[in-house]
Amino acid sequence: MKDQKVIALIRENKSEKAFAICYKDFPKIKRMIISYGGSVADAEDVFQEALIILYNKAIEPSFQLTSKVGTYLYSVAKFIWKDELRKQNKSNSSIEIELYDNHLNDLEEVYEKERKLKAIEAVLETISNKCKEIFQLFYFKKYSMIEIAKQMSYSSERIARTKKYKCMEQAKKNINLQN
Amino acid sequence: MREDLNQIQEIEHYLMGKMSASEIQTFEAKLKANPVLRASVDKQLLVMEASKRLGIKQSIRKGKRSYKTTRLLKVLGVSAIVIGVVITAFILLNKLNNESYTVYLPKQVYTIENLQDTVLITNNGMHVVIPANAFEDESENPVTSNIDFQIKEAFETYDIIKSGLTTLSNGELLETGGMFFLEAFSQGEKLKLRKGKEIFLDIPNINPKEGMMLFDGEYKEDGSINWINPKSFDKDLVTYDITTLDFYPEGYPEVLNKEVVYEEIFIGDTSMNIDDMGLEENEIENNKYYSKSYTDSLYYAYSRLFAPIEEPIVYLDGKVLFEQNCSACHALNKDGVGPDLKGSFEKWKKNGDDIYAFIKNPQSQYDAGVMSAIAIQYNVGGMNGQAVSNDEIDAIHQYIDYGTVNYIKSNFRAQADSLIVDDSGYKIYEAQSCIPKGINPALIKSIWNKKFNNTILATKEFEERLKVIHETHLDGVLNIYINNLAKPLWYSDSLAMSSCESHTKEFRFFYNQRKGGVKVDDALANTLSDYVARTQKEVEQQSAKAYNEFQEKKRTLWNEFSTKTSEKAKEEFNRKIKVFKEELDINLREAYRQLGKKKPTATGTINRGRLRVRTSTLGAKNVDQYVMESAQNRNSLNYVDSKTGKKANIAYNEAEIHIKNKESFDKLFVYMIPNKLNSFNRMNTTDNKIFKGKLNELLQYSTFCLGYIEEQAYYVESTLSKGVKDVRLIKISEEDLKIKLSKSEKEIGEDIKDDIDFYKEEIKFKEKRSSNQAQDELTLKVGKYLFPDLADYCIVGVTEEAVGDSIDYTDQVQ
Repeated sequence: MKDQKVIALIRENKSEKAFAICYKDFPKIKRMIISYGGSVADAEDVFQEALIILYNKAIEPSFQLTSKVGTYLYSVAKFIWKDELRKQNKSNSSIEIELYDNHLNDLEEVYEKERKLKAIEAVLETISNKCKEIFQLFYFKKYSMIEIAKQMSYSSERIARTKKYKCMEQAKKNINLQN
Repeated sequence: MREDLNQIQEIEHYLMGKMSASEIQTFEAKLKANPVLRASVDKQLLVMEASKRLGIKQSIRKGKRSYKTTRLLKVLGVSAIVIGVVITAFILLNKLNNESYTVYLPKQVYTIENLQDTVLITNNGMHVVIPANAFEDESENPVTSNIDFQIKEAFETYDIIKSGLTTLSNGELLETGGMFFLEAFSQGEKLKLRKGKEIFLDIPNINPKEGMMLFDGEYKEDGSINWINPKSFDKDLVTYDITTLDFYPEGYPEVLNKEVVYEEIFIGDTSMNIDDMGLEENEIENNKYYSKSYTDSLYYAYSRLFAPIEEPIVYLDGKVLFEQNCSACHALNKDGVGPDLKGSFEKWKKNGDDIYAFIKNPQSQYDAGVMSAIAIQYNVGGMNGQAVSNDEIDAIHQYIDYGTVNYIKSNFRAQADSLIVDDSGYKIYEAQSCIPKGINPALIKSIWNKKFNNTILATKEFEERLKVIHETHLDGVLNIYINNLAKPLWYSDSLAMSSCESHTKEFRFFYNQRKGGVKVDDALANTLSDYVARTQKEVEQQSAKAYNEFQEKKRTLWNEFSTKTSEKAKEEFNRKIKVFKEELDINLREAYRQLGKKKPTATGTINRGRLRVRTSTLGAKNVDQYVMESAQNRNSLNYVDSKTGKKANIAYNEAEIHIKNKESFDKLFVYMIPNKLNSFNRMNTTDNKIFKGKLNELLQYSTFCLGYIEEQAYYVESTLSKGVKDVRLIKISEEDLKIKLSKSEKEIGEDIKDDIDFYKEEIKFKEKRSSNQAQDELTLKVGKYLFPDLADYCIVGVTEEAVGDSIDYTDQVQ
């Protein structure tokens, strides 16, 4: 089933393909957001957040999708949009969230975490592009240090490692400055 | 690695689950106790999570894009086959001979020599490279005379249509990028290519499409051409970051016996320095590493050897000149028949006297009345004029005042007939003999930088060729590659093959690889060529300047220390005289007292190292003489007046100081301090452990011992009497030492301080000198490796120095 395929692809580190499949559910979600007073840009953002949440769930081995992916994403997107409206003081109590999936119980928590991380994104903009690249390769794509060294044209693994730590040092420093 | 980075590593291991259970326990205990660490861990986790999020977002973006593209393709219904356009406007079907189709194309004829490799450029800008001995006649005989090489080109659509050319390959249509025809004749006879020989072509202005290939044309019976044997074009080469390639000559920097670590790995990444190399602490300390920027600059410094020198450098041997011309009457550092010349040049200059004219003809200066009072002091009549030139006088001056043996006069132009090698004070080192054999490092520097990224020089293939180019010692070969950046590599290889006899085989091997190139537009290629020429000159000049500055630095260091040494020697001499005088006076008084006579008003004058004592009586002269000798040699006086039978006895008793310290001192001063005199006597040693001196029984002594281990002072004070005394020095700070010295008798304290100051100067000098020497050693070692044909003096210059003055710390008065 296509839905299980999405989860499988994410777990196989082929998330790009998984997301491509998910995008077929976007038009419906877009219509929903717009109907609740959002813009197309809002719809894009919300959909993206929903995908991120799906990803983080999918990589947990214990996660099991019991409904269709589209349905799951739809519910998450609705929740996020409601929360957004609340934050903007445009609360619309007419938005009903139907929780089809008991995995959506911790949705609040999960989304809160993502919002925190969103704030840190600004910090990541302050470090060099090379640093950003190293971080993504290591923490997201899970490349080995040797592969990273090759990718970044460093002459040894040790240098790549040291560079990564230096970037981390800089990033942490910049968090301080932000706050 | 730095401490901070180590901690980051530890936190990462913790957060990524790379710790063992016990390690986790220890770490979490630390966390509990240390809120700062806890905050640091939280931050690091945030960065990790945020990075993941970024990664996910990027992945989402890509997914979205690919979704949209697939949708678009589906909508248009486009398949993946690309269809080309065919030109077959006119197809002539007569049974004409093979050339009919090409007869309408303009013919280009070139005469080439069979025995040479040839490079041609056609009207359409196509480069054709024909190797030597490429042709033979129909019967496979070699060609002896010149060859007419004919080329017809059809790159324009007009030409193609006009000549009725088709583009059919085995019945299928081809899209053409252009066609050309090559033929060779010798004396009217048609030639063919010999087996294994190939002609290489570089075709311009083609927009290469994916899958484009080169076809051979086969003439069919009906006169049309069938295109067969497709061959793919030279592929573009893979480029790398040029600063990670190795452009050094073979064996460098390994000859330094240290590993080289890249400092700036990534262009623009200036945040990495050697501290951050991830080296272990002890690796940095043991100095096992040089940074690449250091090995680079060491290598580039040798480009000064390639800077053009205009005139030969001449070295005058001041020592030899002095010995030949002056030493008959003048001694070094003391008066002989003629006075001590040290410092005289400066003195004369200050007084406006012309020492050059004087030396050449003393009488003339005196007669002309142009000499100042100081100059006149010297015994003019005694000196003969010397046949020396001004430059030779300068060289002698340098030797006398500074001990410099080889005085460099780089714009010296001696008369040709007076140039003799060796034995006369001349040593001429011809600049020509310092021409190095190798590739100019300045040229390497001008290409080994990011400007040349994405050019043919930033490839592993070029790196390979450069190793061979280094061996050829010909800058010209390197310049072939630099000046043909827009061409494929095989093109430059072919030129290198014919311009370098010593390595033709190696370049032929490269040429046969048929390596392609890297696309670079012509304007950029020209800019880069200009850049190279400019930069090369700059680098040569800079390195020559730096070298000259270093030579000057060495010379200045030596001159300054030499001057200080002479001053100290003078001071010590005067001090000795002073303290001797005082002791002599006391002895004389006592001797006369014992003899029951009145001490005459004997005064001594010390003049130029000779002690002249005037006396007022004849008889007393004998006493004085004995007393003086005894005082000079510090031997007991036992004199009997033959007339009166009275005796004069003054005893000198041996005293010994034994230094009992375990440490070994760099310098030891052991002073005998007499209570009535204004300075000290020095105790002498042969082994720096046992110091001996003779005590005058008329005086009371104490001893002051001062030792140094590098900059740390040790001292001990004690009474001193005849016999052996063991002492142990203890550490003292400079502050306390200063206080101590100021408390003692003023003059003695000052004299000791002078000793200390000079010792400190000696240390400074030795340090600087050994650092200079180390640099020269390294320069020489690497220079001899890179340019084994060069003499040492070409690489490090001539820096011999005479041993010069050393301070006489023994307690003898001459």
